[in-house]
Amino acid sequence: MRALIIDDERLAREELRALLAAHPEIEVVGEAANGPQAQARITELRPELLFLDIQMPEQTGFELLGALEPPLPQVIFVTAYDRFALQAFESNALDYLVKPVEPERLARALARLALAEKPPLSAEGPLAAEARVFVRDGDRCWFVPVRDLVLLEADGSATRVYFGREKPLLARALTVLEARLPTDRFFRINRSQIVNLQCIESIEPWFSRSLRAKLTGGLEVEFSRRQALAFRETQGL
Amino acid sequence: MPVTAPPVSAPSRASRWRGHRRYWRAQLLGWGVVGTVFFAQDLLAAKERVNHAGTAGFLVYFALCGIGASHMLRCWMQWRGAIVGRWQRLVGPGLTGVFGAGLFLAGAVFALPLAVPVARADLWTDKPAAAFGGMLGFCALLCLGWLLLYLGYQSVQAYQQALVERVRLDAALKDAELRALRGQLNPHFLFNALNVVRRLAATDPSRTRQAITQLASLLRDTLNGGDAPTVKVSAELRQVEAYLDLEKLRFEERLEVVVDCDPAALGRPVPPFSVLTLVENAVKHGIASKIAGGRLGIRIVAEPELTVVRITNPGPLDGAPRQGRVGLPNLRERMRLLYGERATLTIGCEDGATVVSELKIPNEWPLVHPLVVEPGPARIS
Repeated sequence: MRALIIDDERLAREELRALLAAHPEIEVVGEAANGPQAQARITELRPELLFLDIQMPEQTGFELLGALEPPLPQVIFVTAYDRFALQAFESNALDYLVKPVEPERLARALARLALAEKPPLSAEGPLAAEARVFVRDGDRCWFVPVRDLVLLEADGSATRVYFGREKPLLARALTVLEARLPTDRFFRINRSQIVNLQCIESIEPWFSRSLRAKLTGGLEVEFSRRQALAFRETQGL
Repeated sequence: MPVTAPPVSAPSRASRWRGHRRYWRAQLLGWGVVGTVFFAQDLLAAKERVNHAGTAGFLVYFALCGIGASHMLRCWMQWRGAIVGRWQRLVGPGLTGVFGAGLFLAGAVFALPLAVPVARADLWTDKPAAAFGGMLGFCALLCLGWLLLYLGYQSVQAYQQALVERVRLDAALKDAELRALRGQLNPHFLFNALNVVRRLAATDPSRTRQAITQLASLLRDTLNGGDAPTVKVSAELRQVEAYLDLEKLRFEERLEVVVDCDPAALGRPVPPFSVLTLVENAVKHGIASKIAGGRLGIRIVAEPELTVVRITNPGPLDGAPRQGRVGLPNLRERMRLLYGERATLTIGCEDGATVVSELKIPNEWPLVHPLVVEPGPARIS
């Protein structure tokens, strides 16, 4: 697995490299000392795994992830001690290590990684169903597989994404996301909403030849007339 | 009964208002009682006197003049600064004040018959000079009694206030220790330092030993040090330099330190962990937060009255710091308790690019508190 180490301290990067020497399945392909450098390396090297320090100058680890184009690689967070970050990690079940890193903990984190699915990482074209999107709302954040997104709703120049019981705001325009979502699974039902077809529990006819759908989680949405027509056609109804 | 008071912090407007109300109520009550007592005495003494209204009127006048005289006495004492300070300073102004107030009161009483001729007989009698002398002595004694009561009250107030301040100072110092403990034991600092030292152990053994020694010295100073309200600049600088050496291991070329300390300032007092707190903040907000890092400057100047500590780091001053400035409110509180308004801490931005934190501490060792206070329980359990 190709990994990138992102930490503003040179000695901390070296220390992690030294620990990873014991894990030949991980190949460290590069290092970065800050957000901008990291973005450049990620684009250039397309690593599958990031070791990401949270406390970095001018752009924190979370901010960096928010700025990356999905799909995101796997991420293992690293921190010396940061109460707020630790809370975020715990409450969001994110993988993290504390510095100085204990070799056994590193081994366990890598083992967990080996079990997780590995979607393709191209930055263009439609996202695979297992590809993950990084969503952050205040001090809560998630890595959400595309297939778990129930509904995407435009909110100004941002998009509200619905999954599970959450509906945080993603700082990307709906149209931008639309270009990346797999068309076999996602359908635009009106000017401001895109629905995950696999999350539709029931559909019924609605006023003036439109449709109303009930989604998992209890959400109810309405198709526009034109899209209802398009939908019927694609479904062969 | 201690009359002196240590530097008392300025009371709030609300408490000053309460103080005024209490004073005037006490005045009215006190002099009212005096007047009533005389009236009653007069009532019992001369039964054939019919002019109770006149007596009552006179006594009201007397009470009002008494309030006036005693208020002037109070203003006189305050103006001479005799209330707060050593008791020897009381005697001079006290005696002159009492005599003056007594004279005023006696004069006011003796001037009454000019307006109210009926009272001439009672007040001036047939030997006016002697009568005046007697009245003067009486009034002076009255004023002296008033002054003693007033001073007694002030004394008790000052004592209580001093106790409160002492407790606050202890609490603030303890809080500072805990914070500094967290500052050196600041987990973020500590674990990063340990991580770096662990790496060094594989590549540079002698530097590792030095780093471990510095870390130990930093922790030891914190654990041992904090009973005194101030420490010498030289000791504080030693802590600061140990801390910065360890941070340099992490930030390397991103942290450049320039220390310039006036030799005359080395022996001067500063609150413990004061320079360290400012330096920590400078590193956190000026160096760690910048990709390129920058220069941290520490300059200590020995002015005649003040010790000036100037810390510079690259700016600009961020308006809403992500994690807040650690330890500054505590430092300000300790400064206030030790020096009142005479110690200042200002943080500002010079020419948009450099943040300057300036700490000015009076060049004096604060008195070991004049009040007896039991030594407290051990600070670190």
